[in-house]
Amino acid sequence: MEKLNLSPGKKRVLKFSTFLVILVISLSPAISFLSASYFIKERKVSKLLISYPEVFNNISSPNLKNLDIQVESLLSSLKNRETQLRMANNEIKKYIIEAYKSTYFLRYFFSYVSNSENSYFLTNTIYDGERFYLDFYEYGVETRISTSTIYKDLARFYSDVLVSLLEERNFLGNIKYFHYVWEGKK
Amino acid sequence: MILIPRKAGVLISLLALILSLALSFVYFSKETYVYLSKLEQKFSQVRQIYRNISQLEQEGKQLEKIRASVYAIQGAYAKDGIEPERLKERLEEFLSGKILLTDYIIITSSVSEPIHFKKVPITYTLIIRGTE
Repeated sequence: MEKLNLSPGKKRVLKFSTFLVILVISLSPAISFLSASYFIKERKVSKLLISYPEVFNNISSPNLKNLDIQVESLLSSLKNRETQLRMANNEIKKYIIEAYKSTYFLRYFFSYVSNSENSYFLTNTIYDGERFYLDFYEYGVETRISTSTIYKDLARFYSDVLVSLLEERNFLGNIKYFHYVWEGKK
Repeated sequence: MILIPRKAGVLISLLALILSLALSFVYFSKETYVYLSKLEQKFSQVRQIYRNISQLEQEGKQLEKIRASVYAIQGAYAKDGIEPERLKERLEEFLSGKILLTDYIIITSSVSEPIHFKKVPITYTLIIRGTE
């Protein structure tokens, strides 16, 4: 059949109202997507709140609008509490360690010598609140005092630790005496 | 009556469709996805701090118990001299179990030479002063 062009050169047009309808239709997927995303957001937040009772029990209302602010303020107050507790515990630790240090060298000496086969004679002990000084003799075929071990153990609590063997002499037969001095500072 | 060329109308509508979808996707990723990940991160931080607080409280209770075991004495003096066995007993009394808080200790033997096997009676001077 022959094609007829009844209006040659005439432009195809849309009425403005039709154009508006098409425009609204083309915007509708985005609007639906936005409402779906809000719905997803709400559901996810609810799920999160259920799985984190620590948060849920400490906020006034699970409102999406100010949830962020509420969680921030909760975090900040918890951090403050954590810092306070840490500081309080550190204070107690410091006090206990200070107290422990005032007799640790003596405890350590007695525990060390009580586990040794050799005999010991303690001649002098001085502790003035800052420094300690221990002077003693050890009797045996060979010394049981491991200078490096003692140094390491005492250095955990004291500074300027000195473990010195002042004298070593034959005493009776093959038995020797070893004159030791332990020193340290709090 | 306002008329719009059909091609232009369709093009504008198509552009509006593509642009609005792209913007809504950006909005979704920024406002929903990023928001949720950040929120979960904060929730997890809250949980972590809660656990830390709980641990610190437990630690605090244990430390309080230890602090309660720290004791100070007014003073222990044996200036006239005590025998080695008695000295050992007294020191065990002071040092076993509880923590003695002191700022002054002196233990001095009456002899300062190596006297093993010699029948020399040894006595000790003991002075312990507690922190006030």
